[in-house]
Amino acid sequence: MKKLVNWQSFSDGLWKENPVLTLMLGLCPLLAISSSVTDSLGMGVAFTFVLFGSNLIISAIRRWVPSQVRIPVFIVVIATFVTITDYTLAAFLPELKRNLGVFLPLIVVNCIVLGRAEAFAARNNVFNSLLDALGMGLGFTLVIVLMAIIREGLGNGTIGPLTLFGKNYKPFLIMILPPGAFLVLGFLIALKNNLAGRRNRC
Amino acid sequence: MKTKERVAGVVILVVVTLTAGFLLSQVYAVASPRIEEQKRKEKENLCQEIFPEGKKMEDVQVGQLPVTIVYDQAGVKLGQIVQNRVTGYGGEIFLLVGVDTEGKIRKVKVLQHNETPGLGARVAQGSFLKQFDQLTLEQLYLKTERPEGKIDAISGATISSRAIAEGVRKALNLLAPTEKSGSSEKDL
Repeated sequence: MKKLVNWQSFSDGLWKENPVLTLMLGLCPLLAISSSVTDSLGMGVAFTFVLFGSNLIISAIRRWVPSQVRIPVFIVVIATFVTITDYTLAAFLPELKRNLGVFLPLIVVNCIVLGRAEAFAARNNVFNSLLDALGMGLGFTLVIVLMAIIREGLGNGTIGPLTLFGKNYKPFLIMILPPGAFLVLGFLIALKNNLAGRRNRC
Repeated sequence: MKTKERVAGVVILVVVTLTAGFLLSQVYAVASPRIEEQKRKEKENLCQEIFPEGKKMEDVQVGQLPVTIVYDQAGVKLGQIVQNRVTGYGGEIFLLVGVDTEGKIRKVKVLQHNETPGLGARVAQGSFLKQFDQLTLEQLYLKTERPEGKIDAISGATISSRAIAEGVRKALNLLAPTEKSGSSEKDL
């Protein structure tokens, strides 16, 4: 962790410390939004932007923030970036903003963002914090989009604008309903643990 | 030592919040005209879909509900669009009901709903909502209901279908006195 540039900060977020599959953080927006591929992609990008901005600022000012006030400072920084994202989406992509609904402002209290600020950005230099943000953001985005592809594909027969199985497909409804989110997430975590376990044994 | 740390904490917090506030006010100043523009455009598009020949719009408030009166190029009144909400199976359904000057339904649109995907959610589709076109107040019931109406409910989603019909009826009821202005004033 003392190295000036540590590429592992990027790759950890994708697999070994994937925020969703390993750290089990940020599950709330993951479960709620992953019923639609387009919304999931939007959520992933918005989330990555907020994490990138907050990690950047927090690691840059980390030497001047006394530990007693660090949490309020983190929250203010994160809330600022979330509000910027909120305004930007309202101005340019109002439909996406409507679909994300309450989960967009709720990024403020997203455990991944706050967790990375506390566990990583407050202790590492700016460059590594940015790598960490990109890795974690991409890790989250990949999982939410993968879940959405499975859920929307089976539950509605579509992926975004694409129709998968033709008109006569009878959708596997539970996948797009809330229980489907838990089922798919469970299978993905099991798969990840299985793959990771196998590699460790070798 | 202790007081010094405490002061440093207060100072940094003040600096951070002030900077954040300043930054957000700048972003808001840039974004807010665009946000207004988007909202206006969105509404205009919906009105255009209901009254394609509409050119001028006027927002009024009838009772509790926002109503938009639509005029054509020459300034002749084409009809009104009522925004209404009604409780469906999974929560509130937001409706847009276009009514022409004779009190007939021009078009019904569902703005937002929370009905069960694959079942109740089908009420938001064109094939269901198309049935409402040209109906009058007394026809706005399901075929299985009494009084008997002209609307085929979506199978497995009677509650959602009935909710839409009810919401449209309420919107029409609200307008009824102003639509038949001549006769209703005499009645009063």
